[in-house]
Amino acid sequence: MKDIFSTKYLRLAVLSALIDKMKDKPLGKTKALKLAYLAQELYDIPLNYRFVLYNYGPFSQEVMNDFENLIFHGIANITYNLDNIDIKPTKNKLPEAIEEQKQKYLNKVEQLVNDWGDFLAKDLELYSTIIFVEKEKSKNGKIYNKKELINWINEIKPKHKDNSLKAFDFLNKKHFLVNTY
Amino acid sequence: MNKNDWFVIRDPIHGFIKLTNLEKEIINHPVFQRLRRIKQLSWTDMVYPGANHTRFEHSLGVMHLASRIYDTIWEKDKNVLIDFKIPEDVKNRMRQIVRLAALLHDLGHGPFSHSSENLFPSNDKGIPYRHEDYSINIIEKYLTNLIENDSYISNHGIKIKEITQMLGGETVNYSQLFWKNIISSQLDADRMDYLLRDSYYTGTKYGWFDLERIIETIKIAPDTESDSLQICTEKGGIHAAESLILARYSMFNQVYFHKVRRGYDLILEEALSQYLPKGIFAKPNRREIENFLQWDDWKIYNEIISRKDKDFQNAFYNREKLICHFETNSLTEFEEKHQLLGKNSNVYFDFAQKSWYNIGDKEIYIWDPLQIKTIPLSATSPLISNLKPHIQYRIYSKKRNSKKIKKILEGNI
Repeated sequence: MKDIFSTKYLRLAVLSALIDKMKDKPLGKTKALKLAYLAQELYDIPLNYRFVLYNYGPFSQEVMNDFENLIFHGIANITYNLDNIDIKPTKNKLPEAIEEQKQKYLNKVEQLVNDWGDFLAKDLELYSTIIFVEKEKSKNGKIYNKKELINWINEIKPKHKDNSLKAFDFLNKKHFLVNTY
Repeated sequence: MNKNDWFVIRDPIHGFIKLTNLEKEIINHPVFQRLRRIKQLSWTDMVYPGANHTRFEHSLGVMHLASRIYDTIWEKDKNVLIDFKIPEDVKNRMRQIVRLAALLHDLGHGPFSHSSENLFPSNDKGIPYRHEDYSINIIEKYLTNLIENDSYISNHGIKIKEITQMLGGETVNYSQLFWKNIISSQLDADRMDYLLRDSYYTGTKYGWFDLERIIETIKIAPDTESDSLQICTEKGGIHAAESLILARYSMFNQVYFHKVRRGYDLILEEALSQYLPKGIFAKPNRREIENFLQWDDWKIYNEIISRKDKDFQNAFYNREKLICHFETNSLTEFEEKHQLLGKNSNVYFDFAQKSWYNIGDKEIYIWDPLQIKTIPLSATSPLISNLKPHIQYRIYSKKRNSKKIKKILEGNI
């Protein structure tokens, strides 16, 4: 029988660390989801979520379920406003086995939050979309140029045309794009 | 298309479902016919005897609903689509792609649907494959010729990858991504069909919701958080959207996560892990997919009968179910029991979770024409925003190990 709990516990540990580190910044649904994506793809945190690309960027139902799990268990709570929700940590602790895992990833999560925590949800959606497309397209080892990548992004997000170029340059400067020149 | 080019199939949920020539040919293909031998709800009939329907009829229903949603969106919001650079000149072509993706979305289910998914292998990154990965592989290997060279739709020039990208396969046309929402989102054709169908066959009326009202009020608009185009509803559809979520809530609590049914899933998983070569399904690739396709419900029944394994035979012939010793929604309580059991191999752990709305799923947006923007349903419906997720940790054992496990869990060993 598969040990279904080891991956589950690691995910809860990392997402709980993320909520802790984001305590002074707004954390809505979209932002939480995209930060989890960046944690997995750019910071080598083995969350092993399967993200699928939609017109609103990479999405994984399991990520959202795990955030809800943490809220259900009182590790975080949410407040509502008209347009969005905000996820905040509580003082409650996870079971010891999970808390131990959390400690292992605190530094990486802190780095993630330092790098991305202040961006708006719509910006994170654009950045994560660019990263997803770049990774998807380069799976077969092909290298693409900037123009090709930007064209694909503009097809997905025609309303973000002005921002996609800036977003590409930002990611490139930070060396997050490795298969596009 | 000429009227004579349509075929119809009678369906208990949707009445008559129309098919094109190509769709009929696909349905008659062995990879689609296999779905007749995969029960939609696994062994739920051990609890709800009517639940013997299959992935076959569900797939037809999803195709039918997908095109109804697609047509409504074009009829109502053509200008929004054009504003988002979704071209009208390929409207009929895209309609066919959406219908085919909906029809074929479940081709990759293993025996007894979701019950066997824990035995799917993982990819190189350690991420477990899903039934969608198998669907994609089956479509590309077995249906490419039929679809790409079909004389009825050849003028559309549909490429097989345009269909599989709708199911999570490699994206080949980024401007088509929006239409994925018809196959998978809070307001998708899949969940609309399975709730109505599962409710009908189990006899549980709480899975029913006002389908006609939902379809009538569906529209599209950018979401408030990211400006991405989403399927949403008009204000008049709020109550129908609420009823859809409540239907899911009830069906998961009462049917899909039923204690006995989940116990049977664990029995099936154990049986399959013994029957499958190396205890796991073949990977979804061109070389191995043929092996995967051999596995359907009938083959499992045959294995259970021919191998004469008493545990599995008792489960069927005598309805000898697993004993559930402990259930909780508290992770801390579960972890305490987990520690007590140590590495005891005579127990089965089950973790079931489903979110309805708050965090665990995408929002349903409501179009507010006065504010000219969308508002999340959670902000307008206290009923929905207060729904708690269903989280259930359970510990089971076989009847013969029951006394010992009970003592361990009570802390007496």
